[in-house]
Amino acid sequence: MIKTEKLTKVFRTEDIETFALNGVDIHVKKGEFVAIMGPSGCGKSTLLNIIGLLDNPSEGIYNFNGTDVSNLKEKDRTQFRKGNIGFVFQSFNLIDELNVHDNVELPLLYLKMKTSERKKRVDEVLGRMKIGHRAKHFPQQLSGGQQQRVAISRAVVANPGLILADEPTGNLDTKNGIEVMNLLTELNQEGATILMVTHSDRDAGFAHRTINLLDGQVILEKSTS
Amino acid sequence: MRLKNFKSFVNSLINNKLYTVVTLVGFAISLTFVILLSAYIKKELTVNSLQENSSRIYRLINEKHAEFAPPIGLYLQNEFPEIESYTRILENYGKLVTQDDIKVKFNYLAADSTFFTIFSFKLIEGKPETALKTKNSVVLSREFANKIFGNNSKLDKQITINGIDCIVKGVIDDISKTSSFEKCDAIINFRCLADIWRAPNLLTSMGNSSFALYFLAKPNTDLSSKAPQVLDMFKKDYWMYQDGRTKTVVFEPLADNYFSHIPARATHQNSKTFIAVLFAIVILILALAIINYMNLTIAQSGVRVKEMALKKLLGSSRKKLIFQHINESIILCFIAFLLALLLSFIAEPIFNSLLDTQLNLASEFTKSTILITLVFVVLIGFISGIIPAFIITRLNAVQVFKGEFKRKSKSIYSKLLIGFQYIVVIVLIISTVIIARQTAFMRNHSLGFNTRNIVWLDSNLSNSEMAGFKNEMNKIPGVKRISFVKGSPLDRGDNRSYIYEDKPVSFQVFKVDSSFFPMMEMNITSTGAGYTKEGIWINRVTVDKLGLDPLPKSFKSYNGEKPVLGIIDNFYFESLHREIGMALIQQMSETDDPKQILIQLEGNKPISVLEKVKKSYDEYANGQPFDYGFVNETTQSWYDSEKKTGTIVSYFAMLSIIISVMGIFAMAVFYNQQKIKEIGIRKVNGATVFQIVKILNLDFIKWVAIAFVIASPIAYYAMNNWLQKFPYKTTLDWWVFALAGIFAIILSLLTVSWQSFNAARRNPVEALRNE
Repeated sequence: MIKTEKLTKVFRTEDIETFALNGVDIHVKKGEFVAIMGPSGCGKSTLLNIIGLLDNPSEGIYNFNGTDVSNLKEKDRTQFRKGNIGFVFQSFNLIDELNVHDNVELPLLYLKMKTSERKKRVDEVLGRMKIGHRAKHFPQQLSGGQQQRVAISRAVVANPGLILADEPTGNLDTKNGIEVMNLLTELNQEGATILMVTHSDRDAGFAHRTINLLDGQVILEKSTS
Repeated sequence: MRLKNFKSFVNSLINNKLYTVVTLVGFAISLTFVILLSAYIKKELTVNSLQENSSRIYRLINEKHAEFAPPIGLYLQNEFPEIESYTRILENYGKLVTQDDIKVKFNYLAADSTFFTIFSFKLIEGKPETALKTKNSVVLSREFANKIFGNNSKLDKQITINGIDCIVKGVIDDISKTSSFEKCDAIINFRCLADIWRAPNLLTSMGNSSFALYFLAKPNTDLSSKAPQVLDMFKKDYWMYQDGRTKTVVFEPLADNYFSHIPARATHQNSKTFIAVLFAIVILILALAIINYMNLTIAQSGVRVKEMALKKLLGSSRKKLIFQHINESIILCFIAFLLALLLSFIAEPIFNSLLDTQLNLASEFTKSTILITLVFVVLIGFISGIIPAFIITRLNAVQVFKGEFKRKSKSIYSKLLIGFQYIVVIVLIISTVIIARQTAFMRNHSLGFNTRNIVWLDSNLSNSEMAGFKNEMNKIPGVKRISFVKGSPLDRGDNRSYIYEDKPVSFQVFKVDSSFFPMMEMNITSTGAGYTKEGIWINRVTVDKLGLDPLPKSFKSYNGEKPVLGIIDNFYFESLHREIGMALIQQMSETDDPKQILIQLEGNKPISVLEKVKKSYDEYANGQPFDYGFVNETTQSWYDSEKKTGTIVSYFAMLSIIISVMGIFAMAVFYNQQKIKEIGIRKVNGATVFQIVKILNLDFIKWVAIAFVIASPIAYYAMNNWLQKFPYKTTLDWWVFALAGIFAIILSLLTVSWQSFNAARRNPVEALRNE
């Protein structure tokens, strides 16, 4: 599903060039659950952003579902992302002004789905995540764990093939963190491919495979199962 | 303000250039208007206040005008011991000849010898008590005296006015500067009018009631309370009141003269409504400016809120922080005021020509005005600063450091304030368009007679010279037709009032020659009556109002039963401000001297034709000036007042647009900064740039739309009221309102779209990384 070859990302300022990624080759199969680990600044999030089509690589090839998407324009990246990739962030990234239902509905809005169909899907996913009773609440009225469930609901509501999670338990206590990981595992078992950036060995333990990065390079790949 | 606080304030201004520039420029432009308009309002409200006897001077008025017969002054003085003295006043034009044979046309006031003791006008030469003492004494304005005599002494110089010998007994400054009297070249003794007009009975006759009458009351008396007694006397003895055509009499204090609703002789007037409107405008501009300041300060407060929170953590009280904020806003206001002062001096000449006034800002720098202004600036600064100060210092420090301020500062205040500004903008745009439409409606409305290519000329010719002059004119190529008239639609003709079948009626009477109708292209329906020299024409209003036969063969005119030769389709003989009244057109008799000459031109070189006309006229005019104008320009000038109002409103509309655009632009910048996270999230979830721009813009448009819904009825009410004063008016079409709404929306779209587009194009990764 995901194949990168010599993926490089350089950030340039007036004085310095920083190699966030330096020739990364990874391969993720459909239905896999892969954790990316490494110390801060090793390029984990940059890799996730490129795989999530939020950013283009400076060099190298990125092949998504058989298509070379290395140099897509922003407009095309948006088209490609819609419905195919769901995101979960450490800081949840919910819109404060929208209630739970409307936050989850967001990706469906941009898929031009009918209102009734959208409502059905949102209710369904909120029920599954056990926060249906909170549909009318606003993010600031929810606990961290509940907010992350809403974020995961939003990531999966459009049934994307790929879920990208950037430190999904980083802002949660242990209990809520484990609940979130169980949810992701469930989604993976139902067929979603999951790529997760994490600092936590415990969380990485939920994945099938771990890729370790250091200074923008893959230094270790190991299977956890 | 402590030095460190001041430094951090200055730093924040430098770091937030957009905020600083928008705030200062917005405030300065608004205050410029406030300064100029306030100076103008002050000037208008203090006209006549320089008159020492101001509280004791009254003008006699009735419900229609301020004109009475010459004997009335003495008659009332004899009856009421409260009256110390009186003066009659009339303004007129005359022909003056000096001993050096300089001939000029000039305008004069005819006034009694008491004029200079009732009113306090400083005489540059001569004495107030004697300046108008004898019948033939004349007082000249300095400007006019210098024009005809140069720099020589003017006292006791001989001049003739319309053939009457007079002596210069005084020189004065322009009286219009210190009173509501119009500027005049000279003041002559009232009694001299009888000679000039060759009307020996003028001073004793009650027939001619066209003179203003001013009284000086004795100190500590209440002259105005005597009006009912005067009315009773008038009802018994004064024809104007006996037949009921005039019903009231009032002693109007001098202070009210300038804003009187009564049209008056020899005075310039202003409308209290106009001053009230300007005052409202001043308040509104101030409100807009203060709102803009509050808006911008609250919007950009995120930048400074950390400084406030840190100070709170370190022990500063909220009171101190509020005080610091207010101080800052006073300083900003003061800087803006200095800028505004500079702009006011630059804009002063434009303003003067716009309002046809003579402001002199430099002369306003007195101790008291400087003190009042300083208090005013501090007050504006205080009002502007207090609300933002409370909002910014409201949050507790921990909330700020946890980043909760951003969410809370997206408060509804700013949008409410922007909404208010847009209400003002939309109301003003609608008003500007409607005033322009009404003015255009009046200017373009058919007057019922031809106004193109016709020149009017004030005539000094006697009836015996008419034929010769006409002959000369007909020789000039480019002159198509010439008509002599005594009263034309341009000067309303003469008024004749008489009793028609037991009812008082009032006619405007015009005397014309045979070329008049073909030149004016009026529509006339013949009555079939046979032509005679006595025959007259009446307008359709007369037929309708008096219930005559549609085509009456004869009519009882003020001078007897006359055959009616035709009915004229209604034509306007004054502006569209008044309904068309009854009009009667007679044929000039052989003894009538023409008052005006109408010359119809053809071809496309009117100026060279006019030069030839002038040359011929000069041979007939005995050195009298060649006063002329184009008929269409004269009729257009009837609407100068609406044009002026329209210009002022449009200037103000532009100002409010500038302020609002600046406000909304800066708001958009700050608002989009606050929205960075949301934009990022939406983009990650599949929103395109266009969809983001749409969301951001809609947030602003929504408020413009709400403003439109509120503004439309306000504008409708205001304009409907304004239009009520016109008998002939344009319609309040829905599209004017829609146009203003669309304009406001386009304006806000243009202002915020670029910001929205930039915000929407940002890489969402950056936005989410910041979080």
